[in-house]
Amino acid sequence: MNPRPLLIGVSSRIYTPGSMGLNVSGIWTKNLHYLEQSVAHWVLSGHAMAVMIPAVTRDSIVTRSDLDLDDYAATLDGLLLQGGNDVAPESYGEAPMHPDWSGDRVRDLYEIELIDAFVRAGKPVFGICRGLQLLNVMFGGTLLQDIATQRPASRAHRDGSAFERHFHSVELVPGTWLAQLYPGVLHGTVNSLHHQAIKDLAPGFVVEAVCPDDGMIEAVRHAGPGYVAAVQWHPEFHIPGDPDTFDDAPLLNDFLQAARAFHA
Amino acid sequence: MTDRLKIGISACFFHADDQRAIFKGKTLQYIEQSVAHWVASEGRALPVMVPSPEGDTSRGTVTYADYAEWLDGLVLMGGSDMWPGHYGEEPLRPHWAGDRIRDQYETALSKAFVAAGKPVFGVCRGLQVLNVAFGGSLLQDIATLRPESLPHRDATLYDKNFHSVELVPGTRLAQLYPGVKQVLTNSVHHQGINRLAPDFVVEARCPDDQMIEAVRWRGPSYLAAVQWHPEFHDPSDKTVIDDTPILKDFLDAARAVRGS
Repeated sequence: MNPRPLLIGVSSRIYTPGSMGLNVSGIWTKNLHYLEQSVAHWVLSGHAMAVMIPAVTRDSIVTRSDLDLDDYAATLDGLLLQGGNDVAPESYGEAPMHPDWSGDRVRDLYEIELIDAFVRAGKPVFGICRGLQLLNVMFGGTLLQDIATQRPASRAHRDGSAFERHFHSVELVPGTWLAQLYPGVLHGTVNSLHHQAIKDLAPGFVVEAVCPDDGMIEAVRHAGPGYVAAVQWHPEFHIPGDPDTFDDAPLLNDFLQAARAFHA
Repeated sequence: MTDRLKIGISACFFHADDQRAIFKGKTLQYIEQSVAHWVASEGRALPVMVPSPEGDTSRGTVTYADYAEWLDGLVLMGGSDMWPGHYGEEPLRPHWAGDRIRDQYETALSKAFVAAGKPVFGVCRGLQVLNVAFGGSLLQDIATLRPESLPHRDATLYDKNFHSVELVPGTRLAQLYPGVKQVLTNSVHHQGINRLAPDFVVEARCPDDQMIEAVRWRGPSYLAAVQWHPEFHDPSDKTVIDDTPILKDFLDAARAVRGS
């Protein structure tokens, strides 16, 4: 019998009635937890089983003892943070500069607790886009609420009409773990669909990639024990085998390798 | 290491839609929070959503059997209609064409759990999927095909539409509710079982129109389903059925398989 595939938990995106506001009847009156399909398929591409971890929110009928996030950390081999809504500025001690940037505090609280459970269990955590931002905040850093407003000299990091087909170059920082995964590679082209970004880097974090045009932080890793790493782009949206974009397979394999260390 | 039972919940789909304001061209898979919380409400389960490995971005070699091997049980959620082609019919109206992709995913997932001898529990659409997967058929629209029936769906009342359900004496379900003959449940479906799958037992019916409300497989593993939504019942409302014995029975079955 083959060894069982690794088990990777994917954090939920959370829909609360009214927040998407398409048609508030039937299913739209319910709290939904969801993922964008390609993120699960990206995990599956590394011969790991992806499962989505449901959220516990304030109006939940269950208590924490019913749905303990530590049990997920004990059972699963690693955690992947999906992209999604903005991090709420109050999560890093700021007020929203604009009502549109007030972010998703409910999801922040759920994911912070989830990350904490995995970190305490010594299991690897990998963040995508919002995941990078939330990890930076959780470990004591801050964010730019809106790149275009606060760093007007920056290049465009999001194009509303191109969505995941908006690209820019990234530079791998020599000597970092990430650079070691790509021997001889100095530059890559990645998608870019974010309007927030790291302002103050969290203590203990190492910058592993930057945008050469404006110095924006594109990949980070926690220097401490354990495995906490994240990228500002969306690996799941890169078309596999596309020679024009970054090959994310070494990144995924490295994360899964770290997960395998805990895998009985 | 936690001893919790790992229960998979099948995903619902928002298929790629270029008219949608966000996630244009992207397929979203989701569960309702209430289902995950209902599964967890007994304090013995660890619910997770099992994403469909299929679709245009599909990659890798992980199979449904891998999930069935790791998880201890499966819950099929409610949601969209089934494609009538799965039970040999044409859709009577275009908007009853159902969700063929989800049908195939849930059928394959259920069969993997049955093959592994692990329990499967269906909610609403889940009951319909299991009935069709095991050879039965559905009424495409109760109101059209059985006009004398009770309204089993009210778009405005949604999960606040209730009717009586009679437990069939002698069945496993009736045993879970000693001395109880009739209960009240929500009703949020416009399709129902037409021809019962061979080897299925009817465990509950609507007394007003005899619509099938609960079924169980006679086969070697646990496979049962209800037409109502246990997760929408307010636990503090004593007029509706207390679904805890049903959940407990399902989890006991999962525990028994894991322990064997």
